[in-house]
Amino acid sequence: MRETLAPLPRAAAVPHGLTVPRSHRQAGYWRDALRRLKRNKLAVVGAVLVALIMLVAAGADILAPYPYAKASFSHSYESPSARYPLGTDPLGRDLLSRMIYGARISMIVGVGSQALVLLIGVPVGAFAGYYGGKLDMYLMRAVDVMYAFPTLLFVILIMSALGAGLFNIFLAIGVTGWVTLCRLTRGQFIALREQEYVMGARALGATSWQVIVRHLLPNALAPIIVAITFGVPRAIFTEAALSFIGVGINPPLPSWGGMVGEYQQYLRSYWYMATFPAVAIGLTMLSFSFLGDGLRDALDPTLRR
Amino acid sequence: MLQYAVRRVAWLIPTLLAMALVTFIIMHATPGSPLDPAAPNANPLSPELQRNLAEKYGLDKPLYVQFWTFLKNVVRLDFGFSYMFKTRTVSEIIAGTFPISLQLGIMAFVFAAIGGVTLGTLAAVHQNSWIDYLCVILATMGVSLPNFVTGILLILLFALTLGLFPVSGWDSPRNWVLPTLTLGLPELGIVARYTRASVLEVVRADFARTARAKGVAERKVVTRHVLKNALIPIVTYLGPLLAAIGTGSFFVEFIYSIPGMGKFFVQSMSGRDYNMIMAVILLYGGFLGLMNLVVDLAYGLLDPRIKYG
Amino acid sequence: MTNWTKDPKQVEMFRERSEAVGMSRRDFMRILGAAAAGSTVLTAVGGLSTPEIASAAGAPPVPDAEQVLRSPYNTEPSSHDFNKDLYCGGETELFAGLTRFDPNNNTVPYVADRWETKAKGQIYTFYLHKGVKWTNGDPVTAHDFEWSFKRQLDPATQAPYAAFLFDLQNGEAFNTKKPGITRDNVGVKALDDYTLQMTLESPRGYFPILMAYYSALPAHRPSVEKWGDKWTEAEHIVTNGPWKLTSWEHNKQMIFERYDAFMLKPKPRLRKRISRIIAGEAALPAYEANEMDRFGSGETVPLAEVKRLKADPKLSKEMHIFSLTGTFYLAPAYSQKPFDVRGVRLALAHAIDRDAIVKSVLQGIGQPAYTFVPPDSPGYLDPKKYSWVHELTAYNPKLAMAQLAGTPYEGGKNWPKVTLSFRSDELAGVPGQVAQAIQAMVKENLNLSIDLEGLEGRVFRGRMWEHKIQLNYVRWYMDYPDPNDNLFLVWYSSRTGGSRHEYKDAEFDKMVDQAAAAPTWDQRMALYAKAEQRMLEDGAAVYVYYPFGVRLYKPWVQGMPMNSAGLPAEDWNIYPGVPNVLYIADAPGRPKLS
Repeated sequence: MRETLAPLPRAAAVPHGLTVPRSHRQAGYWRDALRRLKRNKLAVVGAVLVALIMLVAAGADILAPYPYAKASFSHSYESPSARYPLGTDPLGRDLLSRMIYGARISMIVGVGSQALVLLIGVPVGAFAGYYGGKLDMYLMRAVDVMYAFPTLLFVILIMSALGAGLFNIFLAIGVTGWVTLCRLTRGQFIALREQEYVMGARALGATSWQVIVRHLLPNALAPIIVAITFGVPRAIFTEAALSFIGVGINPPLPSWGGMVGEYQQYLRSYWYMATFPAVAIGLTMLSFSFLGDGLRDALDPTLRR
Repeated sequence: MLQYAVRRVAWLIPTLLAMALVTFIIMHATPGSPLDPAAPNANPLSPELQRNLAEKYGLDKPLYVQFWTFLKNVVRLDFGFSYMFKTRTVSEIIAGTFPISLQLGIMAFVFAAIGGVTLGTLAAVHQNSWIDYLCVILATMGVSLPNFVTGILLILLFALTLGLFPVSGWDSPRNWVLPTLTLGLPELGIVARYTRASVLEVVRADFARTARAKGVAERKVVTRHVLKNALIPIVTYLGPLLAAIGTGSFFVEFIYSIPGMGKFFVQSMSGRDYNMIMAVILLYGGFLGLMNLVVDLAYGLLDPRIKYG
Repeated sequence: MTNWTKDPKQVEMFRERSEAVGMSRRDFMRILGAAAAGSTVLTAVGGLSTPEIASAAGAPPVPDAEQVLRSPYNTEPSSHDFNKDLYCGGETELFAGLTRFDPNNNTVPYVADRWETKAKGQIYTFYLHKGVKWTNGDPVTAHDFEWSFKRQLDPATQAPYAAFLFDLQNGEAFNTKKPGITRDNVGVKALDDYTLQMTLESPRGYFPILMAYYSALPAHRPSVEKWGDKWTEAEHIVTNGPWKLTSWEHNKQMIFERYDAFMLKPKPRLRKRISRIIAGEAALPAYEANEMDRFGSGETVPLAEVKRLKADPKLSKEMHIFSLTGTFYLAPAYSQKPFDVRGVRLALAHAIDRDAIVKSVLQGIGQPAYTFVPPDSPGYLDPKKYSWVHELTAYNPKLAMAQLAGTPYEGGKNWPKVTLSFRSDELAGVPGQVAQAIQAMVKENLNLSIDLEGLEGRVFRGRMWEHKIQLNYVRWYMDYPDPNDNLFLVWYSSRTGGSRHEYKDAEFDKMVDQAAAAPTWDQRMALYAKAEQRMLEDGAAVYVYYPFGVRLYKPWVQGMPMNSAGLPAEDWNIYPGVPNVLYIADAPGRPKLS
């Protein structure tokens, strides 16, 4: 299973995610970025698809023809038909409905775990980067240890400690995933804190808190957003791997990763069971990658050709 | 540079120690005992027997004593016996299985790196040709298909339908083809995509234009000037590539029944094989740490502007 | 020799013996009839072997040099030391015990030619066959068995399943370090090289059956003393069974070769077995690519592939379906709401449509269960004969709801939170699927919403023995074919060392005690039936289905032993003798191996 799906580097990019910061005129900067994003066709396609998936996830209760756990034993293992457009599973549950609800669960895994990553990684990275010195050293030593863990092994270890379950999955992914974001944020803060406008703000008597929240964070936001965009599909992928191993979410909740992990063994007898969720994961993966690539280009104009 | 390398290696030791501690704590906080039988159809042990066995293996001692014992032994590279395979030591098991995983990993790595760079360069030079599209397709499949699905598809196509390669085992080079493909192909796609982007940037750079202006043949421009510079950012991806191939081997070894170490990733944890868990995590952590160092050093060799501080 | 059936004393002795091995009266009459007709089956070395070599209709075998079978091993064994660890996962047929099971799960002589009982079955004397040898040439003697049984019971050995031999006098006392009890006090003694006497705690009718189980296989003393735990490695191992372990590449493969000097029957017809270690599901493509002659080991059920296998003209003929001799069941926790109410427990039994589970979810790879002992084991309670079975447990949604009348949950209301726990890490997810079916049925029929919780085996077992699972979905595979295995080991509540479930009923315990000590087979079975009825009347368990397993054999693999019901007798928990009777015949596509 893939551990890292980093954004594509450009030839000019400095390694370890350090980008060269500038002072952004807030409103104008975001408006420009949006304009640049709109011009990138792939990114727009990605954004539309992501929005669509989110809509399906949110509207699952209205969109799904059947409840996701509704079993119908006289209709088990049915091929796609008018009644069941994507067929049924071994319990005779409608796979289309499970796919639709699966979007919701998969998004909860993806977005939920990234929210946790954000909540741990950004503050830790921000404090380490802003204050520097001893605090930075100790925090970074801890981060280095976490970084050295083979990620998937660590996720499996935590999952066996916590047991299967939706909440546990995003806890495990979140707890292991925050270090990358932490390093990124710290790098940004170190580079930014010596900038003139930050010095200026300090000279004018702004508190550390104000400096961090008003001046540093907004300017460090771009690479963080990009990293999160790539983190969401990666979490969905990890969940698929966990389902394959058998420590995924608890039934009868459906998730795309869980469906692929569970139904891959049915591939030869009932091709449709694993194929549709795999396609859904692939599409999600791609749309987030397109969006992420586009966002990076849009948010960091210096990197554009 | 030597000093830098030595410092990095020295730093690995406290890192591994801390990893060991974290793993140890999580492992012991996990419910379930390593003393229960591993066989799927086995009936459980009575609590009384559990106590007796715990006494025998020292599991009844306080955790800090157990950790100290572990540290004392691990200095001599003694990870103890395996709870799941009670008659064998962890070192014996690893000595038998790790070389196989390593071989598979190296083959997949070389395949992904060389194949990816070649394909990516060709795609960049012949933009919008079929090679370019192949590059996009491979990269797309690579990021969007889990390798346990890729594995099944390759078995269906190459083994069961075409009968070209065997499905299982590790005895002959013919056995190596499909697992290497399964593990390497998705990574090849990603390396190719990186290379393509990178080569495209460099091709337009001033020095390449200068070379062309001097009348150097296009092929020479690409091989001599462009590629060397284009490779630099690709090297940064080799670290994550190694990690992906390392942990990916679990799925591939499972699907192709390869007697490697991958199965112990999951088996040791579900079996609560304490000694094996420690060994697996430390071995992979240490291995990845070393490899990342090699990548960083290689980076310096390629790009003389990098200074090691 | 005159026909012994003419001698009333001999017949009486034989009756005593067959009672001791748990033979049914019908089988007894049948064997007696056969013996009277002049058959000398029982005097043949190795005893009853007719069913195993019955497949004369098969194609003729290929030359001995090509008698090679490639069969998978699901997992890497931890050793082959059954004497120390029943669940070591090794190869049972490397060893020969005093007795063994035939394909009908009857106990027949093996290393012991015969045995006698004294003191109403409290003392057993086994007479060993002379000339049986270990693979290093040492004779197999009664001392080997005495030493092996004492080794298993010795607390220093830390054999996890030593309780299996607690029927031996002072066996438990020695194992649990009771003061004043040493190995010399254990009730097993070699009277001479070929006579082994065992004294039991009290009369135990099933004892010879235990001796056929692989917990009672011997170990080779000089090898154990020389090599310690490593004595079952290929380069050290010394065995006394029909097979030798000639190579063991860990995690990769084992090679077994026929032990040519083995003098008991049946003697293997295969010359060599190459056993690659391949995890369950991954072995099917290898089988289809003709890298294996057989698919399936342990309880592998490729549910995902059943439809394709059944539809394929070639594969469908190669498929065997057989009983795993076990039962999946639900055990509600008596101490937790809502299962503290008897009506709820009974309602549960009527709310689960076993036929739908077997037909839809399992695609026919199983049989609906209403009682504990499976149909292929003695003591099965056929619902057609015992009317109370269906009265208490048949699927009937109306009756299910009616059971709730007068309880706080009347009409399917006021339910508390209920969690059903199952094992998530076995059988490629089948328990989870059945649990989901149960979840849907209980919702539909009782309006009870239950949460599902998949647990790893270890965690699951731990919680089960601590009685922390509210609604437990679990299975029991039988160890030996006697209802005692089900009722005592699973439901008996006054055991030292804890009980598996919360159910506690002194009257039930008494019935099981009485049954174990009952003098005749029929009396025992009647008592076990009464015990099962008592348990079901209280709703202690809801039995769901008897699981089946699936095997595939290439057409050139012949000689599959059949049991008297005409079903293939697979190598599952009880009868492990399949590799001893299979052979290779010529068929198209057969690779020539040597």
